[in-house]
Amino acid sequence: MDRQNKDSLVENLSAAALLGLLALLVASASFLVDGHDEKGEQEALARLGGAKLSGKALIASDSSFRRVYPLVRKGRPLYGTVLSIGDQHGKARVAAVMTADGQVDSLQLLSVVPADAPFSREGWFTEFVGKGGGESFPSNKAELRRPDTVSAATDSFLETEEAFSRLSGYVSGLAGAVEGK
Amino acid sequence: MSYLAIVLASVFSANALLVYGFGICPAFRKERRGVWPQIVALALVNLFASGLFWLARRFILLPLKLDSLDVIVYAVIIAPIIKYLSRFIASASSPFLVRVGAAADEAVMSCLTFGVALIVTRSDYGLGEAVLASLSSCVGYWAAVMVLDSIRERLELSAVPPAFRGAPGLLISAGLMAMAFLGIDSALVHNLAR
Amino acid sequence: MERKNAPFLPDPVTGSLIGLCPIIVVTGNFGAGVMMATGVLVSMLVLGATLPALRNLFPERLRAPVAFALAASLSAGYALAADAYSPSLATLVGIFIPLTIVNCLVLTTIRRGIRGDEPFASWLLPSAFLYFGIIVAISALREVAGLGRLTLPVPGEVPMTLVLFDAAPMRLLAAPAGGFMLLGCLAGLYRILLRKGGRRIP
Repeated sequence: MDRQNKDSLVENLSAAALLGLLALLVASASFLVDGHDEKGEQEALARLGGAKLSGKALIASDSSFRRVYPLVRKGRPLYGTVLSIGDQHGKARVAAVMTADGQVDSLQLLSVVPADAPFSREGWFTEFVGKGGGESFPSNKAELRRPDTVSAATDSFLETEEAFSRLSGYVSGLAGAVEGK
Repeated sequence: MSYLAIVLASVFSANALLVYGFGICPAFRKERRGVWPQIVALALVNLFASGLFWLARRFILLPLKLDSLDVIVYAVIIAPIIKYLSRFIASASSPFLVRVGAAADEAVMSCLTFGVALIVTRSDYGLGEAVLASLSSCVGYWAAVMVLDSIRERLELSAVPPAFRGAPGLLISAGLMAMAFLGIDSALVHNLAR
Repeated sequence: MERKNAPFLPDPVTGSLIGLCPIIVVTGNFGAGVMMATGVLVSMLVLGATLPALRNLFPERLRAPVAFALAASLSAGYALAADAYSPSLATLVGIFIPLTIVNCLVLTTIRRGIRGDEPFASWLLPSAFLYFGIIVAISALREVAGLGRLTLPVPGEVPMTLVLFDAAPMRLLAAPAGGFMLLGCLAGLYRILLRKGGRRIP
């Protein structure tokens, strides 16, 4: 190999090594932060559900929930996760413990950041579950079509409803897979 | 979400320019390389960027728990691939394709392309839905830019105070358009297309 | 005609109208605006410090990929740091932290840094700090005048919010529409100041 090709190869390898090093640094930092987040989530969920962790966290490729933790309370299997629900109008972080058939066992609001949501003293449920017509929030999706229920709050109702539907489906699928084994 | 809901949401209630503010700088640029080459270039770049990014994130990064590296993957792998493709198109003999390639080359490292790619890959879309959302975002962006261009022409002929001629007046007009888009509630769009 | 003591600085946002993309959405919340502006500032300063060294280490064909990889790593690292500092604010800023690498100011820093354009440090430092300053000011104005509160960028799970008014004075200001209109008004005001100072409008 002549000298010029050798120099090119060395330069290319140095650049690749630097890129690899940068990726490794970012990946290491992300594993550290994830580990810290996981620990915090596990503690919050164990406290909320009064349950113990029964296995490793499962990775869900969902925009609202990343990690689902299998829990057990008095021999009963449960699943816990921390959801990040919201859109450009605001975000809420919610710890949720679900039963194996996809029902909500317990919920806790961890934090809420209302970006441009209406200033309200009523708490996160009316902010994020929705205000519709004569009821505090619509009892079904058909009521959302009425003009007086169309408001910014109903965006968050849909987001919350969809996030929990997906979580319920995921948890039911997990429990079904475990039973199948 | 149904495909219709994705298209309506991407064009109206989640318009790339008027709701997210992506691509403001090129939108206010006066000179263009022709409307059709720009539209085709934008559509191609967004299609490839969102598609490749979705595949990389779903099949490589998420299984390895390396989703924090998605920015590096875009900057180091996906953007150069699309730049190479745009230069390949620009080397064609047809003047139309040369302009498409040049416009695509500029659009790769822009907040419109990367922003739309990030939004569609971090939502819960399949590959087809992600590509459709990306293309619809382009349509919505381009529609807003066309309306702003015609507003700009009218402003140039109007007696606007000197300090507000050009970009400041156009920004205020964009704000008034965005106000109209605020009235398009995403819950309504979602329900209409159910 | 140029006056030497003109009462303005070459602000990249209202003057040159660059780096506007994250301003419309993120500056509706003060904490999110500070977080995003800090990301851009850190990226520009670190790139400004390392790119001259990169010119000496790598040939021209490799400088751009390495520079972009460095910018992307900084952006990814900052996203992780922001998430650890305040998860609530980080989710609010959302995709605009990764979008730092395609911010016009950061791209200009990369281009000037790898080409060795002069002046570099004398352009970089005022631009970076002015951008930070104007973003913070716009964020404070939009949240206080728009929503009547101020979300402070303090560390922790729950953000600290100072409630200044009982009701939102002008909600539109916190929405993207208000962001556009405020930018337009600030750009117009900047041009008025330029004219009064006898300077050329950019």
